Amino acid sequence: MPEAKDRTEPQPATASRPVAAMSTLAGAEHRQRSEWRRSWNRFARYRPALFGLGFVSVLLLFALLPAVFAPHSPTEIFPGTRNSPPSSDFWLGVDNAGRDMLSRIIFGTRTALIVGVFATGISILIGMIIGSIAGYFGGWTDALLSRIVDTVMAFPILALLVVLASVLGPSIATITIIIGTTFWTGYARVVRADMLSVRERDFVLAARSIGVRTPRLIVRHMLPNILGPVIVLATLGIGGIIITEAALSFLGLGVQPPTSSWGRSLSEARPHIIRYPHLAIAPGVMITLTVLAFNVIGDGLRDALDPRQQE
Amino acid sequence: MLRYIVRRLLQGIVVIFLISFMTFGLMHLAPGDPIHLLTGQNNARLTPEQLAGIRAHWGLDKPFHEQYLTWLSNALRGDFGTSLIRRGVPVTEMVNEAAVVTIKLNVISWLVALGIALPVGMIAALRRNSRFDYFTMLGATFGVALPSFWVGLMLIVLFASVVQILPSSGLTSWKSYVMPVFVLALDQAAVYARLMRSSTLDVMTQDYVSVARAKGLAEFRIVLRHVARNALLPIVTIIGLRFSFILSGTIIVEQVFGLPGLGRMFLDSVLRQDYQVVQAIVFLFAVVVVISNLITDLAYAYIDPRIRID
Repeated sequence: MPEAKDRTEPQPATASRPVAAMSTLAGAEHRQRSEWRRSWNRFARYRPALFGLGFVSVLLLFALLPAVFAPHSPTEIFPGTRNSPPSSDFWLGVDNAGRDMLSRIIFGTRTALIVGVFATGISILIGMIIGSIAGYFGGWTDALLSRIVDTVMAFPILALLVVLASVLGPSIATITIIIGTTFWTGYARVVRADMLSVRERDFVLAARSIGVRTPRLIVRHMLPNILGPVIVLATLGIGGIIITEAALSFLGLGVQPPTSSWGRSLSEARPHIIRYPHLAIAPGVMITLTVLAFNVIGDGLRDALDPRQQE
Repeated sequence: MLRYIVRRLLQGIVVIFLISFMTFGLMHLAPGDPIHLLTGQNNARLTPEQLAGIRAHWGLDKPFHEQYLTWLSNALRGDFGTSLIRRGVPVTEMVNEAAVVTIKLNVISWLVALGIALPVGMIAALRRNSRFDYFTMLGATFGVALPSFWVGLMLIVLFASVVQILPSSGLTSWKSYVMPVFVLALDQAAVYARLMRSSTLDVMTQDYVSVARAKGLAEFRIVLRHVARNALLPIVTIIGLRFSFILSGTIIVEQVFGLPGLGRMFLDSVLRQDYQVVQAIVFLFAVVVVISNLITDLAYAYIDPRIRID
């Protein structure tokens, strides 16, 4: 029973992190390193998470150096090969426009990761700002901000994205920005709740009593203490964002041609799905595996960083 | 309790108001003038006076806030105007027709998802680390990661092309609902099954379960009376929270399977800037989400008397 074992271990999160902030002390540094090691061991104990990490590393290579791995250019058209099945020249076949599917899949990794990472970054930033202000100040500030969070949460997310994408004109930049500015509510809620409890801790009182100003107190002293749940949430959220990008591109409201995107490839395969089903397989498998990889990494991170909160 | 209900209702009304305002504002930011939709090809042949007349007729010459207030006061009386594309058809009528399809689709898939996920999640927890647990949780992990539009396409290939037993698109008979319901239920069932499993595991470690065992109660009695009821608590909250996902899910599924429901009507209306319809649908969904969140909170307080909300 891994849960029971975790509970008997000392709680590193509460005991050593405030100390770790003063990392000039040699002892503190040593303790910090062993905390990371313990977290890594907890993470590695969940084997699917290691698979996820391996798969995401491959995706990162694809996204950074697509030209090295792709056998052809993603936009080059090979006349007379349209819709052809996998062959030795075109491992995953050729799409309806006559372009190499494998190369489009590899270049599509870049789209998925750019949107996934940057949109997550934007939502973390917005969520942290709103959540920490609401949690720290409380009172009517909290009431107002919480109402805004409720409103965004009550809005059907994909509906909002569809409206925004059609208003702003679809492109990879708009997609990233609109997803980032609509997915932050989860972070705001978690940060707010944790700020409420961190606010009552002695080290906050100590920092305040030696005259640390409020912005610095929040950013340097309080936020580092609640990063664990935020990191877990971010990893679990990337998968959802990648699916959302693919869904918008599938609906024709995502990245525009000739940029490759897995969702776009599916949308292009759709009209010919009955005659050429093979063109719809690779993009779907890639989306599924990518989302799966991020989700299992997130599960592993939750065990590693937040042992109290098991699912 | 009554004070709590009233307060939540007022908060809900504020949320609905904000959402309708946001939608109205967004649709007004959209590039292109709705006047072109109204006049179509005849645009060039109309004199400026005629155009101004059409604008005045639709209230498009008024300032933004006035247009919004007019819309809101009509909407509160159940009048959402007429569609700009399907000229003269009242939006309420269009929405009512499409809502039947969407409600059927969602209610059935919701029942299917819960009917499968709750027992499966509980059995997986009771037989922890068994083969059943392992495979169902593997399935659930995949279920969460599978994009619904892709599953939809693969099902179409399988059941409308390889074995031709289901229609690939459109709404002809009950058979048209089979694949969409499956796709919508898959994603939800995966979420609920994982949640039910972890929630059951949590409850199993509680003292009252040990007490019930020590008393010598039959295992099925312990499971049904003590474990199941308490394990359902977190599920109730998630069900309420997931209501706002419904339109998101139906937009995709109705698009893939060509069903004439609200999701498809919404997408079409956004793309063709029929903003009367867009506003009506978003307003409707905001109301549904707010009410379902309220019911969730009340149900939670009812099931678990320990919770003192105020």
